[in-house]
Amino acid sequence: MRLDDPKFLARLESLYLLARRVIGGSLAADRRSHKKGSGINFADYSEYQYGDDYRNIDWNIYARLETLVIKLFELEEDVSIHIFLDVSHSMQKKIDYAKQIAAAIGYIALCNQDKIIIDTIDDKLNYLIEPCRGKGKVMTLLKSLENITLSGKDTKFNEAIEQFQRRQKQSEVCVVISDFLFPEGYKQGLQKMKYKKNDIYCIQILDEEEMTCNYLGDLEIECIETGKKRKLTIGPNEQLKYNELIRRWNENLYKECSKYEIGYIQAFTSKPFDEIIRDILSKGGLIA
Amino acid sequence: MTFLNPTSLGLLALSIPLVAIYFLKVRPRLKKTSTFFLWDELFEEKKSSALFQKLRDWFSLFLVMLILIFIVLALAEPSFSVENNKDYCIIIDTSASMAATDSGSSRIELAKNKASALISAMSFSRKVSLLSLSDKLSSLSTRTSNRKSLNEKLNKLEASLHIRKQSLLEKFIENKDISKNFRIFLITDKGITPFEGSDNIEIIRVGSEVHNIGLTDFDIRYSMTQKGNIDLFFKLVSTYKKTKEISLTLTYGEKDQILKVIPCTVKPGINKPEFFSCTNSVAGAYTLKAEVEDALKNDNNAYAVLAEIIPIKTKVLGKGSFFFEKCINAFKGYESLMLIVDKEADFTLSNGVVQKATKANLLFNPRGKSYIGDVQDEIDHVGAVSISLKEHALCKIIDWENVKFTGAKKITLPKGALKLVSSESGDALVYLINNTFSKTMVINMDPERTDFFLNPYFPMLIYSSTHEMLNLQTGSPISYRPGTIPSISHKTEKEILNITKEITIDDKIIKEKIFPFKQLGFVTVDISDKPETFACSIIGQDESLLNDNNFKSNLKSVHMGLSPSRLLIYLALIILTLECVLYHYRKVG
Repeated sequence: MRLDDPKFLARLESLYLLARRVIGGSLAADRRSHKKGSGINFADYSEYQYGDDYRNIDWNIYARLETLVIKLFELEEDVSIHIFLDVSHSMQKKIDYAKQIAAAIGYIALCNQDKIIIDTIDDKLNYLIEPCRGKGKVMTLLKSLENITLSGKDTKFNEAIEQFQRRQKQSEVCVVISDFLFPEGYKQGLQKMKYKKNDIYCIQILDEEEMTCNYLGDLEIECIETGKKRKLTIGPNEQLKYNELIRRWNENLYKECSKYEIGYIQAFTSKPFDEIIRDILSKGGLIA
Repeated sequence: MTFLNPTSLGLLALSIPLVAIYFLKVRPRLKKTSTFFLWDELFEEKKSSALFQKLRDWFSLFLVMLILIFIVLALAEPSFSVENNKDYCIIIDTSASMAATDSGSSRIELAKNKASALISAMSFSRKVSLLSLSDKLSSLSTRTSNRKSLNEKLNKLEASLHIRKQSLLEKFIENKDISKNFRIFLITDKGITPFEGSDNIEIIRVGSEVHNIGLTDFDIRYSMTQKGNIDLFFKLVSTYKKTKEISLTLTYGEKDQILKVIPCTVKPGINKPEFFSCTNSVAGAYTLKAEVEDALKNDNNAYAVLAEIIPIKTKVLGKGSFFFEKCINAFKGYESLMLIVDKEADFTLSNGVVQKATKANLLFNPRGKSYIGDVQDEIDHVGAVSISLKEHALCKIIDWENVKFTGAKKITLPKGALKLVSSESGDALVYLINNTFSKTMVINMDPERTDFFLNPYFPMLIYSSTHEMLNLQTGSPISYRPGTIPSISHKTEKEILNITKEITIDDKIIKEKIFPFKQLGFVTVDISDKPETFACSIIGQDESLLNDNNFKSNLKSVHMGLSPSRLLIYLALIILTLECVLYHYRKVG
């Protein structure tokens, strides 16, 4: 299904409506932040420090307790949602699904007046959509996603994140949509992302066929990215070992995400993408 | 090495498409994967078997080529022996000696194994004709290449109780087509006496040197010297290299009542006949048992039936009665003895007197005109005697040419008279008259004038003519050989063959034909309300002498056992199994 297809758009719209119910408003910069600042909603009291805006001093408290305290309000900040979309050849079977998820997140974010940036990752980091805001950019977003082609010779996630880190000025909500099957690993990249105090969400797109080894006998295994080939005879033992390796790989990703307080969602291509978005919405955090 | 079917070697050309197909077949499936780096770990683990992995395809191709080569060679039928492409005719000796225990098995089993090995080693195109030889040369299977059928026939084969008749083999070889079209093998434990064409028979020997003592002759008669006794005669052969002491037991009747135990020293080879006397003169079944543990059991026992004495009632008439009586009394005390009676005689012995004919009549010096012819004047000169029927028993026993026919008369013979001896002028001197109820022998001479009563031929003539005319000339054999048919008075051979006895098999009563004799021992048959017992023994010297030291094998080069073609096929199958395992490994890991 094309991303600019009306039916697809309708599905995105329904997801946005769901998001609105969860979020509870449609104003610009509706996103609640844990940071304290100059918003409208009261958040907490704090002891007055030199340099604080004395307009925020709660005189009622001072009258009762003879202590200077200032009122803190929730900071209503302008949040950037940065989507990193893996477009390496390893995503061959999963790229359409990844695009749909990216489109859904992007759509909801744009409708929510959040700033959105989409970068693609292959062996380097590429801009797909420069920072934009507002519902008017939806079609640009969708068409850009639609036009994505697989590229690169190998996925170099860590290098790409390093590239991103160099140009990043403020913390963002980072969404990595990938299969996370990087030969050189993902740990370093995730650590670097976290270093800049970004809110990170990993959406691991998996194809069920990759998860289990269902073939037996002589195989010539070709790396889908590098084209490297090896011959191997697969027996029941090899099947079990492969299944164990892939399970362990995914488990490690989950553990790493937990360790760095990174949101993690595993999405199989067999599952409708909107269910994944609903899961994300219900769990909260990312766009709600 | 030669190939019997070399054209099949052309099938080796199949190796070219086979190699091409093989490489297409063994090319592994290509699997693109995004988890190549995970597979890398498995590659590392399997590094130890990498060399085998690399060479496996070539090894597999080598096996496939080997299978092809073996099958093509098998079809080409390699032969390591220089032999023509004639079919085989395998003759297996099934005579009694083949039942001998040899090397833990019987000789017939050894022969069957040899035949089976010959059949197994045959090329695919060769056919086999299977025959058995004992007292008959029987075809077990017609010319066929069906090994299963041949082996089935072989399995059913058993040693018989009969002796081997070489004459049958000689007659078989006389057929030139046989030796032209077949390679003839005789599997036997005994050699053959060379005969014309015997070179065409390749003899395969079975059996080794074994120890055996066998009874090869056995006879039992009423004693002629001591009334009430029986005389015993037997002969033993031995294949033992040393003299052996054994004991023989003579038993009587069904209950094996022991009559005599005869200690016997048996020398190697053929022993001299032994004679013994025993104080028992009862008619019935006698068994002589050699108490010895040896290779052949069947020749350890000899069976005999001593018939009841039925004296020939004889009437004596005319001149010379004294001599007649003296002669008849001389046979007294012996079986089939003659008894002088006045009435109801079976046999009449007369000189010059012609009376009403009894069953058998011997008449000297005939006179007048009667049923024996018209007797006329005396012949002046008899001259040289000529014998008309030399094959007749009485002409064989008595030398008529040296008998004087003084007093011979011219006789006009009755119709149907058989002239045995005649004078120079053709006058009948000795003749036979066969009527429906009687037989008469006429001796045309005066015995008194020729002193024939004193001639040694006189008692011989009396005895022989009596037995000849009363059909007692052969007497009943005391024992028959297996496969023979006994002679029973007043029964034709067809009637004898139809005599049955009832046997019970699985609670079912089945009528089984008794004759020809099928087993050793005694058999009793009810013939016209009177049970008659017959004995059956092997009694064959050649069968008991189990070690033929003069045996010469003329077996030419022949392949026995597994044929090269079969061996190649089996090897190909083994390799195919190995290749299947490899293929399975390639396909399903």
